[in-house]
Amino acid sequence: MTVLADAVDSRDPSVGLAAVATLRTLVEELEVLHVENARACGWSWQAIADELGVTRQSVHKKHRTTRRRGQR
Amino acid sequence: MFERLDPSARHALELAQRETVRFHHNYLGTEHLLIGLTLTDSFPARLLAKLDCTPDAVRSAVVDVIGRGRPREQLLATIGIDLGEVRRRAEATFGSEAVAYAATRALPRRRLSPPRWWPNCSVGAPCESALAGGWLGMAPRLKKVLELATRHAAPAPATPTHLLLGIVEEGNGVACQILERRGIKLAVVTTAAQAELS
Repeated sequence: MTVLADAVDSRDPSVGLAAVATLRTLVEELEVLHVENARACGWSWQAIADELGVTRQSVHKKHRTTRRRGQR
Repeated sequence: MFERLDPSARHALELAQRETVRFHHNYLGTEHLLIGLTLTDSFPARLLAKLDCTPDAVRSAVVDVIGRGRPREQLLATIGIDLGEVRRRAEATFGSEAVAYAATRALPRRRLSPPRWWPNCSVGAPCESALAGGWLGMAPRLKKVLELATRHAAPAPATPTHLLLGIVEEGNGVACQILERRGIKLAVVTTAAQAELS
């Protein structure tokens, strides 16, 4: 992995920007995982929003359709 | 909603999705569908083979026109993130099923989201989200192609031939560029596909 990373010139904007875009996808996926987990643990939207540092409305709008753990 | 594509058209899309992984492309475009069509056992595959458009010929044309993307692992490594380790921890904590689910929930940007009538599930094949399989954004022209194909086929489900017809009818996608680069007249494809359908 390090060899691959070194092989890429990280001053190349196309690499840097693509890396940021990929990181954003990764963050979104991790957020889904952790919100789902929090809801399964019985956390309120307010408590989740406080930890994420966003408003209760925005976290609910984004994740209300996320299934509860155990649902298919 | 899925009924708007027949099983072999769906299969062509699954194959197309696998091609995006091969190229490390982060969207699903008409060029991937063209490869998918050449890989199916259908009229478009036979027609394209007759026109000297084999899967490998189209693949190398895609590399010429679009190029290859970079693997996500490699991109994230450039900013110091070990994606393999993130994935391992996520799967160890929440299970691989939950990780796969999260990937389908982290939707692509609106511009790349699938057409309105598309079912809320992955086409089937695993594809490249950061963590696991999930949605690949559909390029706007591919969306157009799917709309054209299903509209033509309605009320029957669209066949691979309708998909090919959609590609040439849309006319500006990378798939069409590739066909033209290989010296294939789009009109020839249209005529042959329409003859097959009638």
